[in-house]
Amino acid sequence: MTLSSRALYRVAAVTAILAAAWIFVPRFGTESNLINLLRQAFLLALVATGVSLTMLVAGLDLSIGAVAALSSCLAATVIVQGHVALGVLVGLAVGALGGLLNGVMIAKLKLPFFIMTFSMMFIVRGLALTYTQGTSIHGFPQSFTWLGKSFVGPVPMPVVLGGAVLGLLYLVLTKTTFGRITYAVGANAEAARFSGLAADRNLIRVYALSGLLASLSGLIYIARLNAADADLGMMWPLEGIAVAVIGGIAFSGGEGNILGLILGGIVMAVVGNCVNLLGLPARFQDFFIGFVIILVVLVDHLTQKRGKVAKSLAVHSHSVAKEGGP
Amino acid sequence: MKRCVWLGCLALVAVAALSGAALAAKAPGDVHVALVVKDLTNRFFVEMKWGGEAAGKQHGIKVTVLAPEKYAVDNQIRIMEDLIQKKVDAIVIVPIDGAGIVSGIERANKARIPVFNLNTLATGGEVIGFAGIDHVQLGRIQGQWAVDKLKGKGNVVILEGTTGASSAIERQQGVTEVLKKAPGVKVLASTTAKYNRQQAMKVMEDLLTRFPEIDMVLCANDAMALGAKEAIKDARRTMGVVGIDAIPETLEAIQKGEVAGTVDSNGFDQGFVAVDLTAKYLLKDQKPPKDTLVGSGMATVITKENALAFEKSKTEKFKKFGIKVD
Amino acid sequence: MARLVSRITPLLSGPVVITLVMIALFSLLSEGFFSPSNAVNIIRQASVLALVSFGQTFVILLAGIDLSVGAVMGLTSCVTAQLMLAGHVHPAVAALFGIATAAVCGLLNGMVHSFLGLNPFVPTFGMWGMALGAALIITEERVITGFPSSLRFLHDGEFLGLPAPLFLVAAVFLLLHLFLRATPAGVATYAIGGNEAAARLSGIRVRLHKTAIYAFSGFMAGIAGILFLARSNAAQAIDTIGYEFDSIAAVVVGGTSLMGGKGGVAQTLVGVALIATLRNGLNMVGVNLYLQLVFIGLGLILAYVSESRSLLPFLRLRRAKEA
Repeated sequence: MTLSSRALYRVAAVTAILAAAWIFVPRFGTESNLINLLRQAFLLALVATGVSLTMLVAGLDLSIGAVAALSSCLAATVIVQGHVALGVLVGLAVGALGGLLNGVMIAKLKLPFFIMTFSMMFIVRGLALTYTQGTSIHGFPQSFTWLGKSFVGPVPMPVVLGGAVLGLLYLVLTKTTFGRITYAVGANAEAARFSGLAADRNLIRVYALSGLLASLSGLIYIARLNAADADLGMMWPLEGIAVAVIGGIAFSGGEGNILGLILGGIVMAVVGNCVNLLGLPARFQDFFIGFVIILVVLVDHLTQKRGKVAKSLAVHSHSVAKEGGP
Repeated sequence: MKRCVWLGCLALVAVAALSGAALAAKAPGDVHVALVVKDLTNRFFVEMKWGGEAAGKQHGIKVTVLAPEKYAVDNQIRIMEDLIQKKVDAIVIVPIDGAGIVSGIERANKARIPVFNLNTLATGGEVIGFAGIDHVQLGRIQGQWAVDKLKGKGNVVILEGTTGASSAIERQQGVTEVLKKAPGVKVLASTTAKYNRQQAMKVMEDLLTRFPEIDMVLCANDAMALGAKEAIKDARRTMGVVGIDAIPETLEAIQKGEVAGTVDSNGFDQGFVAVDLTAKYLLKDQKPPKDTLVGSGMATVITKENALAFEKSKTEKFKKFGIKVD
Repeated sequence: MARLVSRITPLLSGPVVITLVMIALFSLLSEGFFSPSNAVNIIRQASVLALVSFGQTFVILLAGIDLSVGAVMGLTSCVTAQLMLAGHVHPAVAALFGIATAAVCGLLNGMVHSFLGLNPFVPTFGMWGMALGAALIITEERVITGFPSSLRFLHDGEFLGLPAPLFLVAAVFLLLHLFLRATPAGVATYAIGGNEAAARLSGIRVRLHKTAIYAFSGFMAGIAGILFLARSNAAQAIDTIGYEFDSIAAVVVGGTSLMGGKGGVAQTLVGVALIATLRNGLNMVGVNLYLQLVFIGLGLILAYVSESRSLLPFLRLRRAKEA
């Protein structure tokens, strides 16, 4: 795996941030804190996986939080009764179904991704709240909570699971046809379609995957919390986008390395962790995140200016003359 | 053309008949009281809802309970505006923000719809009365129990509610008032976890990193206490965790020994008293007292010793009013 | 009769029909919905969304997007509030300052997008975070309340029995509508959204124009923020979060295309009316709070589909950006 200059800059920046935190923030470098940090980073990266895939195809999935909430609440009902494996299956199935619905409406019925996933967000969140009536489902057997709480040696399970998922996605995106089509569709859906690359089917798969990954993240979250609430994931779309952008996934589609999500997750986790460790009021977190995002993308852009301009010209020359006028 | 006219007339008649039927269905004396709370995903407000509905049943009036889908006072104003349009007979309002709700109350005043203020004090507009629990007292109860339990010496961290929320401010006030009088009890940190379980878990995790010695965690509500206890459990540390609200999940956790105690904030009685006084005002012209203090269901902290008894007494109470608790 | 019908039919776009159907349905299902006072009610409730959506319309016409408006609205209300209360500044001056702050945010968005070539998602998303953070810092996460009644009049006041915000929205709407249809700058906006390269070649100063439009979106967010402040009589940083997505939904549902170059404030007005009517109607009928969310989602999809039916043949050509 060759590291592009973009990736190198990112790794360097993240290392610098970590070093600064180590020096200036008390107790940052303790073993327990670093383990917490790692866990938090991978949890965030997991949340961002689905969204990143949809960003790769120049789209966005705003419904990930809601889908995670509904699927985990339904799964929780089953799990509390002792059927852990069944519950997990139910959760993943619901997530995949939701994503599938998104994908079909977007690819086949040509609904803009924004309207579809935004509306889904309302619908699914409403269903989750109606289902739980605002109560929480709690008290999971240990055979389930290990997903969020156990360790493999010194490494927390969410890190292992997150790492596995990201690794798998990386392989899929770089080594399979599906992955190649995904990048192609993102870069230029028109060209992809005209060259017969089954762009529609790819889109459906991407959104279905996004839903599946959202529900997986949801399950790991509730395993850690030991309770499922219908308000899970309220900020996920935005947090996921933040992690993705910091990690190098572009909104315009077609570029970004999924492994960058780890870096994005680390940055987000470090900011939150430092704010807490320094005893700063929580409000500084949002400001820093916004600032970091712009900084990261600026650096990105400045180190890649030539490539971007060429690409934007290519995209624009493809756009057919549209109806203008009011 | 003639058929068009006939169809049009038929449609008009149908609409007129339907609306006439709808209007006629409202029998004289059908009193409708609306109870607007902050958030129905919170068990505390669900119990308040039950209390209000129970009082309604006693008087034979219709009670609808509403809450905004977004936790913002602006949305409560919208609900009040719509209720005014529906010409309800009275509104019982639990404002998310005491000053923000004023324009909603004033609008109801203009429409001559009586307003009863519950739980959180509104700073303007005309209301027929106020009822609520003393949040400061709840904080004091919690704080005093902690001081007694620690025998006047120990390290404490506080998880506060949503910054700016009057209940959070008042509970904090009560806690710090008592803690200040116990010089041996040190408050290591006091920060907000926004009344949210997941947030509390994350904040607690970092607090555990910051402070290797914590004896007690005081949480402004149960959701945060439940989040905090998970973090403590995962870190394999031991300390006392106290919440406020006495929701069933907490009572279970207390019996399991995971949470040390909670304070009852008596949502049920608050809802009951408010609707009861309002109903009496509407039906019997009895002006409610300016301030009615609703007592806590239990004047002390509920701990392992009395949790089961308390839970039973609550279930009995609900059964008396015909409320089925899941 | 036929001539009247033929003049009205083009106006009956999908969203308009849906809105009319909803009005009919809600009127049947709920007494009190179909009344002048409820209409006034809906207008008041929709006015904040209308103002911010007008600004969003311009940005979307450019084939761009502004994710920061919700947070910028909040920043405006918090800045204005703090100036009035802590700084004892006259409300009008405080409001101007607040709106100026919003415009500056928009300007920054525009500059980063136009001159640095970043996809508009990025600066506006970053601005979202920074504006929210700044608002939280200014207010120390607290709610600020207690404003002079002169401010509240902006929202609660009435002229001739009609709510004050209606006049504000109507005036703004007329201005913007005329701007888009009758001025060279307005036409240029469509041109850039339709085909940016061609617009540049035809002499339009694209980068300057785009920057101005984003600044304008910030400006409108500022005005919406002031009206919001007048309505809720309280400034809290997080209260306006969500308006960015609501405004985009209103614009798109009304008929303006995310691809740029097609649509306008008239369409947006319909979109706003649709959403406001839906929300109010669901409340009036007394639909369960949680089910309301489901209906709103379904309503949005339905509204969009109704609008795009006629565009189906053209949609194939637009797939590139919409996926």
